[in-house]
Amino acid sequence: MKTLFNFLTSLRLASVLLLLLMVLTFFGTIEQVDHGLYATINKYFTWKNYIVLPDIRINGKLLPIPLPGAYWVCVLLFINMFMGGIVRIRKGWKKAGIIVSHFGILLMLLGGFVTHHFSERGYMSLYEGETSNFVQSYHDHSIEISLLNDQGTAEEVYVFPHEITSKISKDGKTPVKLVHEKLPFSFEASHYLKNCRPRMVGPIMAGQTPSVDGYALFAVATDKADEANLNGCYLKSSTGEEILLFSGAFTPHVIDHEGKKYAIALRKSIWPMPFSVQLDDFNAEFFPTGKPKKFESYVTRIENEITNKVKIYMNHPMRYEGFTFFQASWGPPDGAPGDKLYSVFEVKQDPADQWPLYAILVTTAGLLVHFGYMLIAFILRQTKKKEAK
Amino acid sequence: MKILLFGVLGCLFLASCGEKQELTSSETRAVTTLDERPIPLSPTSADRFEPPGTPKAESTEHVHGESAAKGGFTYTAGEGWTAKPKTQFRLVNYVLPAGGEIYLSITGGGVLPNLNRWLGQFGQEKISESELAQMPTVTILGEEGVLVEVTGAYAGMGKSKQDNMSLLGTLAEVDGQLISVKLIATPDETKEQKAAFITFCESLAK
Repeated sequence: MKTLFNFLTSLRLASVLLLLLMVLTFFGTIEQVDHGLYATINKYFTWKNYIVLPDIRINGKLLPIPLPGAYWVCVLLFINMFMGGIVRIRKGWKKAGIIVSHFGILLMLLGGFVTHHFSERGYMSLYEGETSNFVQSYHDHSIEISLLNDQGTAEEVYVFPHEITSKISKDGKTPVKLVHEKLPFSFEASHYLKNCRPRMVGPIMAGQTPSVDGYALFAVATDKADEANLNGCYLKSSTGEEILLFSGAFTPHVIDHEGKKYAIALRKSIWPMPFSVQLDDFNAEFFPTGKPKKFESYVTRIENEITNKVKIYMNHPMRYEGFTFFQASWGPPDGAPGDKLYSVFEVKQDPADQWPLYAILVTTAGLLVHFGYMLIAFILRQTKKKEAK
Repeated sequence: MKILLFGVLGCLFLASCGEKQELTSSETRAVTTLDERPIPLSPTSADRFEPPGTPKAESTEHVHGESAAKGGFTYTAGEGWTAKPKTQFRLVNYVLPAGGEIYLSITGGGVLPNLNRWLGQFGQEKISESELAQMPTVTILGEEGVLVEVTGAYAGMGKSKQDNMSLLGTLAEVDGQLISVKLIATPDETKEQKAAFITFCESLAK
């Protein structure tokens, strides 16, 4: 038991873990150039991967260098720092600053854990003058069925979330049955494609899904920027209707059932927000080289008819009710002064949003205390020496 | 007794293999500004998948020699050609009687690189500038376009290979633009449609 305790609290273990994190971060940074940020973060930092194989190749051949997954390195580092830097360390005023700094680093690691498991990231895209009260996920897709009124707007929305759509098979051999408790019909779903385009078919032009109304979904190469991939799948309803769902469709498919109309769409998962955001004005400035200089969005936040004007620009997000709006990008890509522009906000819901800042402040305070104590002790020692002489 | 037990277990196993997985949801979400936008109540697949403003599909067959006008061009279409909506890359788009296709595009990158790309799609070796100069030609929009005819296993547009397919195509530089007309069909249909293809190219006008 004592051996285990000594091992877990050792400075040597801390050094090895920090070195591993540095190596993993290095390989992840190189790898995300070819494989995309989302895929690389999932590979290196997800809790599901205990071992990772960095994509190191010599003459095209993969060099197998297994490394522990970064998530578990951080878990072990947390244990090491807590037990060594808080529990085992000798307590006293001399060590007060070091203990406080360790608390700061532990808070940083804990913040990373909370963000990894409990945060959500999405985007909101608004043209000038437009108002929105929802955010869409960058990566997750849901199938949504909306009960429509005569005007073609939705009265109720039923959702098969990403946890379900991610289980739809990629081929037609094992369709899954999708049942919603509040719908009078169900679906058989299959042929889920990560990135596809709908095209017209002919006797010699066949896609990867059955053809419906002269169209089928054709698989295309997966984009390394995961958010650019357009998902698709094939559904057959219990009413006998065949449906192609495509996340880039211009309008949903509509079915009739017992005198009611239902719109069916595959979309990036939507989170409704408790307030609305209206984009009043968007400004973009560029350097003579064409590189972006600054983007500014002037928005009105509307909640229960109470409005607040807010400016959102780089490094100055809007934080409200647990949502953080960052100025992420804008469009259209070929937009010019005078064109109607849209602003894209990255929206984050993260319980640990400000924890890295608090962690840095705590660590800084601890270091200031420690080095301040060392400085004062040094000055006092030198003074005593001079007096003794 | 053991045989009966194994038999029952085996039947249960096989039965569970054949059953579809059933996934149930009870999730709903609040109506948002997205849902407040009216949508078409009877959309066609073209409405859903083609950019707004795309001309609707015409399934009328063209009689041989009948003039047609699409994509900013006039031309003489072949007998039995069925017009399809234009797409981002196909300004004029037809399906042939036996299922082949013919389409006109404006592209970039030069005659030789595009020609070699087409040859690559049929598993053929690239050709050089000198070999390009010796190829037959067809007049298209007043310019001499190179005429290529090749047969092989066709792998294009991100789909799996199709054996024994033919390409009949032409590439020409016209007013700074690279015009291409491409016919892809079975070898028999390509042979039948060659004359109509040449007529189409030679009749093309802006």
